[in-house]
Amino acid sequence: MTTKSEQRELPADVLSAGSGVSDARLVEEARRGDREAFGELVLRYERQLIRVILRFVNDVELARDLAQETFLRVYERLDLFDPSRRFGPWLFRIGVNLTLDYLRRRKRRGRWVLFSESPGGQSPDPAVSDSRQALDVSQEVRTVLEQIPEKYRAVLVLRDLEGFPTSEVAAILNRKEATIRWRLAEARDKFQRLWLKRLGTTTTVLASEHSQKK
Amino acid sequence: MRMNCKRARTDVALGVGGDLDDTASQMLERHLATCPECRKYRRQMEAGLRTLYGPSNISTHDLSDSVWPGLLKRLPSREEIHRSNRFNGWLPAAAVLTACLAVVALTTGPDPRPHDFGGGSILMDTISIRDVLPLTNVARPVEESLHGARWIIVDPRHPTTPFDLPQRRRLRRGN
Repeated sequence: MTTKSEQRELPADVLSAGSGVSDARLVEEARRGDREAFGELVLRYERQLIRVILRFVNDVELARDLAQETFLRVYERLDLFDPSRRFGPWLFRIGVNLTLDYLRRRKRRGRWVLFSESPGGQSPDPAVSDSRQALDVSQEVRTVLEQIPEKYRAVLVLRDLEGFPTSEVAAILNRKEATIRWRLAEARDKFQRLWLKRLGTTTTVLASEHSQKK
Repeated sequence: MRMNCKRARTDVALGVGGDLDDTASQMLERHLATCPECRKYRRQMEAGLRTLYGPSNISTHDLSDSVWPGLLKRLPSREEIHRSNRFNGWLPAAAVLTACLAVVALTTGPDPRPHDFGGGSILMDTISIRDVLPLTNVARPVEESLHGARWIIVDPRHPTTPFDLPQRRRLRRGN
Protein backbone atom coordinates (compact mmCIF):
# COMPACT_ATOMS: atom_id res chain seq x y z
CA MET A 1 0.00 0.00 0.00
CA THR A 2 1.34 3.40 -0.93
CA THR A 3 0.72 6.15 1.58
CA LYS A 4 1.66 9.77 1.74
CA SER A 5 3.99 8.91 4.56
CA GLU A 6 6.53 7.73 2.05
CA GLN A 7 6.75 11.27 0.78
CA ARG A 8 7.73 12.53 4.22
CA GLU A 9 11.30 13.19 5.01
CA LEU A 10 12.97 10.06 6.26
CA PRO A 11 15.66 10.15 8.91
CA ALA A 12 18.87 10.45 6.96
CA ASP A 13 20.88 8.35 9.35
CA VAL A 14 18.44 5.49 9.37
CA LEU A 15 18.76 4.71 5.73
CA SER A 16 22.07 3.32 4.69
CA ALA A 17 24.39 6.08 3.72
CA GLY A 18 24.15 6.83 0.05
CA SER A 19 27.87 7.29 -0.20
CA GLY A 20 30.64 5.08 1.03
CA VAL A 21 30.43 1.51 2.23
CA SER A 22 27.04 -0.12 2.82
CA ASP A 23 25.87 -1.16 6.28
CA ALA A 24 25.92 -4.81 5.26
CA ARG A 25 29.56 -4.58 4.24
CA LEU A 26 30.51 -2.82 7.47
CA VAL A 27 28.67 -5.43 9.50
CA GLU A 28 30.49 -8.19 7.66
CA GLU A 29 33.86 -6.57 8.32
CA ALA A 30 32.98 -5.93 11.98
CA ARG A 31 32.06 -9.60 12.32
CA ARG A 32 35.55 -10.48 11.17
CA GLY A 33 36.94 -8.31 13.98
CA ASP A 34 37.42 -4.99 12.19
CA ARG A 35 36.67 -2.47 14.94
CA GLU A 36 37.05 0.49 12.62
CA ALA A 37 34.20 -0.84 10.51
CA PHE A 38 32.03 -1.06 13.60
CA GLY A 39 33.14 2.45 14.55
CA GLU A 40 31.88 3.64 11.18
CA LEU A 41 28.48 2.11 11.93
CA VAL A 42 28.46 3.79 15.35
CA LEU A 43 29.22 7.19 13.84
CA ARG A 44 26.56 6.62 11.21
CA TYR A 45 23.75 5.85 13.66
CA GLU A 46 24.63 7.27 17.08
CA ARG A 47 23.01 10.68 16.78
CA GLN A 48 19.72 9.26 15.58
CA LEU A 49 19.81 6.57 18.27
CA ILE A 50 20.50 9.10 21.05
CA ARG A 51 17.68 11.28 19.75
CA VAL A 52 15.25 8.35 19.84
CA ILE A 53 16.34 7.38 23.35
CA LEU A 54 16.01 11.00 24.46
CA ARG A 55 12.35 10.85 23.51
CA PHE A 56 11.93 8.29 26.28
CA VAL A 57 14.40 9.50 28.88
CA ASN A 58 14.79 13.22 29.27
CA ASP A 59 18.44 13.08 30.24
CA VAL A 60 21.26 13.42 27.73
CA GLU A 61 23.89 11.60 29.77
CA LEU A 62 21.54 8.71 30.43
CA ALA A 63 20.62 8.59 26.74
CA ARG A 64 24.32 8.47 25.81
CA ASP A 65 24.92 5.66 28.31
CA LEU A 66 21.98 3.70 26.93
CA ALA A 67 23.19 4.29 23.39
CA GLN A 68 26.65 3.02 24.28
CA GLU A 69 25.12 -0.03 25.93
CA THR A 70 23.04 -0.60 22.81
CA PHE A 71 26.09 -0.55 20.55
CA LEU A 72 27.92 -2.88 22.91
CA ARG A 73 25.06 -5.39 22.75
CA VAL A 74 24.88 -5.04 19.00
CA TYR A 75 28.59 -5.77 18.70
CA GLU A 76 28.26 -8.82 20.92
CA ARG A 77 25.33 -10.11 18.87
CA LEU A 78 26.63 -9.32 15.40
CA ASP A 79 26.78 -13.03 14.64
CA LEU A 80 23.02 -13.27 15.21
CA PHE A 81 22.24 -10.50 12.71
CA ASP A 82 20.55 -11.66 9.53
CA PRO A 83 22.47 -9.94 6.68
CA SER A 84 19.46 -10.19 4.38
CA ARG A 85 17.73 -7.62 6.60
CA ARG A 86 18.54 -4.00 7.21
CA PHE A 87 20.87 -3.08 10.00
CA GLY A 88 19.08 0.13 11.11
CA PRO A 89 15.80 -1.36 12.35
CA TRP A 90 17.71 -4.14 14.11
CA LEU A 91 19.88 -1.60 15.93
CA PHE A 92 16.92 0.57 16.89
CA ARG A 93 14.95 -2.43 18.07
CA ILE A 94 17.73 -3.30 20.48
CA GLY A 95 18.05 0.33 21.55
CA VAL A 96 14.32 0.87 22.11
CA ASN A 97 13.95 -2.44 23.97
CA LEU A 98 16.93 -1.61 26.17
CA THR A 99 15.46 1.81 26.96
CA LEU A 100 11.99 0.47 27.69
CA ASP A 101 13.48 -2.26 29.90
CA TYR A 102 15.43 0.37 31.77
CA LEU A 103 12.30 2.45 32.29
CA ARG A 104 10.30 -0.58 33.44
CA ARG A 105 12.97 -1.43 35.98
CA ARG A 106 12.97 2.14 37.21
CA LYS A 107 9.20 2.17 37.37
CA ARG A 108 9.24 -1.01 39.41
CA ARG A 109 11.63 0.64 41.81
CA GLY A 110 9.09 3.41 42.24
CA ARG A 111 11.18 6.11 40.70
CA TRP A 112 9.08 6.76 37.68
CA VAL A 113 10.39 10.01 36.32
CA LEU A 114 9.91 9.48 32.60
CA PHE A 115 9.36 12.79 30.87
CA SER A 116 8.73 14.54 34.17
CA GLU A 117 12.21 14.86 35.55
CA SER A 118 13.97 18.13 34.92
CA PRO A 119 17.67 17.53 34.41
CA GLY A 120 20.21 20.30 34.42
CA GLY A 121 20.46 20.66 30.65
CA GLN A 122 16.89 21.87 30.33
CA SER A 123 17.34 25.52 31.19
CA PRO A 124 16.40 27.81 28.32
CA ASP A 125 19.15 29.40 26.30
CA PRO A 126 18.77 33.18 26.46
CA ALA A 127 20.63 33.52 23.17
CA VAL A 128 17.80 31.80 21.36
CA SER A 129 14.76 33.97 20.90
CA ASP A 130 11.47 32.70 22.28
CA SER A 131 13.16 29.56 23.56
CA ARG A 132 11.40 29.82 26.92
CA GLN A 133 8.00 29.54 25.35
CA ALA A 134 9.16 26.73 23.09
CA LEU A 135 10.50 24.82 26.07
CA ASP A 136 7.30 25.36 28.01
CA VAL A 137 5.26 23.85 25.19
CA SER A 138 7.78 21.08 24.86
CA GLN A 139 7.50 20.28 28.56
CA GLU A 140 3.73 20.28 28.26
CA VAL A 141 3.95 17.87 25.35
CA ARG A 142 6.25 15.63 27.35
CA THR A 143 3.87 15.63 30.28
CA VAL A 144 1.02 14.61 28.01
CA LEU A 145 3.12 11.91 26.33
CA GLU A 146 3.94 10.52 29.75
CA GLN A 147 0.28 9.70 30.26
CA ILE A 148 0.00 7.62 27.09
CA PRO A 149 0.50 3.86 27.59
CA GLU A 150 3.93 2.64 26.56
CA LYS A 151 2.90 0.60 23.50
CA TYR A 152 1.15 3.61 21.97
CA ARG A 153 3.78 6.10 23.07
CA ALA A 154 6.56 4.11 21.41
CA VAL A 155 4.71 4.21 18.08
CA LEU A 156 3.99 7.91 18.42
CA VAL A 157 7.60 8.72 19.26
CA LEU A 158 9.05 6.69 16.41
CA ARG A 159 6.53 7.74 13.77
CA ASP A 160 5.59 11.30 14.62
CA LEU A 161 8.56 12.62 16.53
CA GLU A 162 11.35 10.78 14.75
CA GLY A 163 9.72 10.37 11.36
CA PHE A 164 10.28 6.66 10.80
CA PRO A 165 7.97 5.17 8.16
CA THR A 166 5.36 2.79 9.57
CA SER A 167 7.10 -0.18 7.96
CA GLU A 168 10.28 0.73 9.83
CA VAL A 169 8.38 1.23 13.10
CA ALA A 170 6.89 -2.22 12.60
CA ALA A 171 10.36 -3.66 12.12
CA ILE A 172 11.75 -1.85 15.17
CA LEU A 173 8.90 -2.88 17.45
CA ASN A 174 8.65 -6.34 15.90
CA ARG A 175 4.95 -6.01 15.12
CA LYS A 176 2.88 -6.26 11.95
CA GLU A 177 2.44 -3.05 10.02
CA ALA A 178 -1.34 -3.26 10.41
CA THR A 179 -0.91 -3.39 14.18
CA ILE A 180 1.36 -0.37 14.07
CA ARG A 181 -1.12 1.60 11.97
CA TRP A 182 -3.94 0.79 14.38
CA ARG A 183 -1.77 1.74 17.36
CA LEU A 184 -0.71 4.93 15.62
CA ALA A 185 -4.32 6.00 15.13
CA GLU A 186 -5.06 5.18 18.77
CA ALA A 187 -1.94 6.98 19.95
CA ARG A 188 -2.76 10.17 18.04
CA ASP A 189 -6.31 10.05 19.31
CA LYS A 190 -5.11 9.62 22.91
CA PHE A 191 -2.60 12.42 22.56
CA GLN A 192 -5.17 14.79 21.11
CA ARG A 193 -7.69 14.02 23.87
CA LEU A 194 -5.12 14.42 26.62
CA TRP A 195 -3.80 17.60 25.04
CA LEU A 196 -7.30 19.13 24.90
CA LYS A 197 -7.88 18.11 28.49
CA ARG A 198 -4.60 19.70 29.55
CA LEU A 199 -5.35 22.86 27.62
CA GLY A 200 -8.70 23.04 29.41
CA THR A 201 -6.97 22.68 32.77
CA THR A 202 -4.37 25.29 31.90
CA THR A 203 -7.03 27.72 30.69
CA THR A 204 -9.01 27.23 33.91
CA VAL A 205 -5.92 27.83 36.05
CA LEU A 206 -4.99 30.96 34.09
CA ALA A 207 -8.55 32.27 34.34
CA SER A 208 -8.64 31.74 38.10
CA GLU A 209 -5.24 33.46 38.51
CA HIS A 210 -6.52 36.36 36.41
CA SER A 211 -9.65 36.76 38.50
CA GLN A 212 -7.61 36.63 41.73
CA LYS A 213 -5.40 39.46 40.47
CA LYS A 214 -8.51 41.55 39.78
CA MET B 1 -20.14 1.68 0.96
CA ARG B 2 -20.89 4.34 3.55
CA MET B 3 -18.26 4.80 6.22
CA ASN B 4 -19.27 4.96 9.86
CA CYS B 5 -17.91 7.60 12.23
CA LYS B 6 -15.75 5.21 14.23
CA ARG B 7 -13.93 4.04 11.14
CA ALA B 8 -13.74 7.60 9.86
CA ARG B 9 -12.02 8.79 13.03
CA THR B 10 -9.41 6.08 12.78
CA ASP B 11 -8.76 7.19 9.21
CA VAL B 12 -8.67 10.83 10.27
CA ALA B 13 -6.01 10.01 12.85
CA LEU B 14 -3.94 8.29 10.17
CA GLY B 15 -4.73 10.84 7.48
CA VAL B 16 -3.53 13.89 9.43
CA GLY B 17 -0.07 12.35 9.57
CA GLY B 18 -0.10 11.32 5.91
CA ASP B 19 -0.52 7.63 6.71
CA LEU B 20 -3.57 6.96 4.56
CA ASP B 21 -3.59 5.70 0.98
CA ASP B 22 -5.41 7.57 -1.76
CA THR B 23 -8.47 5.32 -1.93
CA ALA B 24 -9.05 5.52 1.82
CA SER B 25 -8.48 9.28 1.72
CA GLN B 26 -11.18 9.73 -0.92
CA MET B 27 -13.63 7.64 1.08
CA LEU B 28 -12.83 9.69 4.16
CA GLU B 29 -13.35 12.97 2.35
CA ARG B 30 -16.78 11.80 1.18
CA HIS B 31 -17.71 10.98 4.77
CA LEU B 32 -16.35 14.27 6.12
CA ALA B 33 -18.39 16.22 3.60
CA THR B 34 -21.55 14.94 5.28
CA CYS B 35 -20.46 14.70 8.92
CA PRO B 36 -19.79 17.92 10.89
CA GLU B 37 -18.77 16.00 14.03
CA CYS B 38 -16.00 14.18 12.18
CA ARG B 39 -14.90 17.44 10.56
CA LYS B 40 -14.58 18.96 14.02
CA TYR B 41 -12.63 15.90 15.12
CA ARG B 42 -10.24 16.37 12.20
CA ARG B 43 -9.63 20.02 13.11
CA GLN B 44 -8.84 19.04 16.69
CA MET B 45 -6.60 16.22 15.53
CA GLU B 46 -4.69 18.52 13.18
CA ALA B 47 -4.16 21.03 15.98
CA GLY B 48 -2.95 18.30 18.33
CA LEU B 49 -0.52 16.91 15.80
CA ARG B 50 0.81 20.39 15.00
CA THR B 51 1.65 20.70 18.69
CA LEU B 52 3.34 17.34 18.66
CA TYR B 53 5.36 18.16 15.56
CA GLY B 54 6.15 21.58 16.99
CA PRO B 55 9.05 22.67 19.18
CA SER B 56 11.47 20.06 20.32
CA ASN B 57 13.85 20.58 23.21
CA ILE B 58 16.10 17.88 21.85
CA SER B 59 17.76 20.38 19.55
CA THR B 60 19.07 22.21 22.62
CA HIS B 61 21.11 19.19 23.66
CA ASP B 62 24.68 18.86 22.53
CA LEU B 63 24.97 15.57 20.69
CA SER B 64 28.26 16.35 19.03
CA ASP B 65 30.40 14.14 21.30
CA SER B 66 30.62 10.64 19.95
CA VAL B 67 30.12 7.60 22.18
CA TRP B 68 32.69 5.74 20.09
CA PRO B 69 35.86 6.52 22.14
CA GLY B 70 34.21 5.28 25.35
CA LEU B 71 32.70 2.34 23.55
CA LEU B 72 35.99 1.32 21.97
CA LYS B 73 37.49 0.78 25.44
CA ARG B 74 34.65 -1.56 26.36
CA LEU B 75 34.51 -3.62 23.18
CA PRO B 76 35.58 -7.22 23.72
CA SER B 77 37.54 -9.02 21.03
CA ARG B 78 35.63 -11.27 18.65
CA GLU B 79 37.49 -14.27 20.13
CA GLU B 80 36.22 -13.38 23.60
CA ILE B 81 32.68 -13.09 22.26
CA HIS B 82 32.91 -16.45 20.48
CA ARG B 83 34.30 -18.07 23.62
CA SER B 84 31.55 -16.50 25.70
CA ASN B 85 28.90 -17.59 23.19
CA ARG B 86 30.20 -21.15 23.28
CA PHE B 87 30.03 -21.09 27.09
CA ASN B 88 26.58 -19.52 27.01
CA GLY B 89 25.48 -22.29 24.67
CA TRP B 90 26.61 -24.96 27.10
CA LEU B 91 25.31 -23.22 30.20
CA PRO B 92 21.58 -24.00 29.76
CA ALA B 93 22.36 -27.61 28.86
CA ALA B 94 24.57 -27.97 31.94
CA ALA B 95 21.89 -26.37 34.13
CA VAL B 96 19.23 -28.77 32.83
CA LEU B 97 21.53 -31.75 33.34
CA THR B 98 22.32 -30.69 36.90
CA ALA B 99 18.64 -30.23 37.66
CA CYS B 100 17.83 -33.68 36.27
CA LEU B 101 20.59 -35.29 38.34
CA ALA B 102 19.34 -33.51 41.44
CA VAL B 103 15.79 -34.78 40.85
CA VAL B 104 17.04 -38.34 40.31
CA ALA B 105 19.19 -38.18 43.44
CA LEU B 106 16.31 -36.88 45.53
CA THR B 107 13.76 -39.42 44.31
CA THR B 108 15.97 -42.52 44.49
CA GLY B 109 18.26 -41.64 47.41
CA PRO B 110 17.91 -42.46 51.13
CA ASP B 111 15.13 -41.07 53.30
CA PRO B 112 16.33 -37.58 54.20
CA ARG B 113 14.05 -37.27 57.27
CA PRO B 114 15.92 -37.19 60.58
CA HIS B 115 15.68 -40.29 62.68
CA ASP B 116 13.79 -39.94 65.91
CA PHE B 117 15.43 -41.74 68.78
CA GLY B 118 12.93 -40.54 71.34
CA GLY B 119 15.19 -37.95 72.83
CA GLY B 120 17.86 -40.44 73.82
CA SER B 121 21.53 -39.98 73.19
CA ILE B 122 23.41 -41.60 70.32
CA LEU B 123 26.86 -42.98 70.71
CA MET B 124 29.22 -41.33 68.33
CA ASP B 125 30.83 -44.58 67.19
CA THR B 126 27.49 -46.06 66.07
CA ILE B 127 26.36 -43.19 63.96
CA SER B 128 26.63 -43.38 60.18
CA ILE B 129 27.37 -40.52 57.84
CA ARG B 130 23.75 -40.59 56.71
CA ASP B 131 22.67 -39.84 60.27
CA VAL B 132 25.17 -37.07 60.71
CA LEU B 133 23.80 -35.04 57.82
CA PRO B 134 20.65 -33.77 59.58
CA LEU B 135 22.62 -32.80 62.69
CA THR B 136 23.28 -29.29 61.62
CA ASN B 137 22.41 -27.87 65.01
CA VAL B 138 25.20 -29.61 66.84
CA ALA B 139 27.49 -26.64 66.71
CA ARG B 140 24.77 -24.15 67.60
CA PRO B 141 24.15 -22.66 71.05
CA VAL B 142 22.16 -24.69 73.52
CA GLU B 143 19.10 -22.39 73.33
CA GLU B 144 18.77 -22.94 69.61
CA SER B 145 19.27 -26.67 69.94
CA LEU B 146 16.40 -26.89 72.41
CA HIS B 147 14.01 -25.73 69.72
CA GLY B 148 15.64 -26.86 66.54
CA ALA B 149 17.44 -30.16 67.20
CA ARG B 150 15.65 -33.34 68.02
CA TRP B 151 18.81 -34.94 69.39
CA ILE B 152 22.49 -34.26 69.70
CA ILE B 153 25.70 -36.18 69.44
CA VAL B 154 27.20 -37.20 72.73
CA ASP B 155 30.75 -38.23 73.33
CA PRO B 156 30.60 -41.83 74.72
CA ARG B 157 33.44 -41.10 77.10
CA HIS B 158 31.43 -38.33 78.78
CA PRO B 159 27.75 -39.21 78.34
CA THR B 160 25.36 -36.45 79.26
CA THR B 161 21.64 -36.01 79.12
CA PRO B 162 20.40 -34.55 75.83
CA PHE B 163 19.29 -30.98 76.17
CA ASP B 164 15.70 -31.58 75.18
CA LEU B 165 15.12 -34.63 77.39
CA PRO B 166 13.71 -32.78 80.44
CA GLN B 167 11.37 -30.84 78.23
CA ARG B 168 10.13 -34.02 76.57
CA ARG B 169 9.56 -35.63 79.96
CA ARG B 170 7.52 -32.63 81.06
CA LEU B 171 5.44 -32.87 77.91
CA ARG B 172 4.79 -36.57 78.42
CA ARG B 173 3.61 -35.86 81.98
CA GLY B 174 1.30 -33.16 80.65
CA ASN B 175 2.91 -30.28 82.59
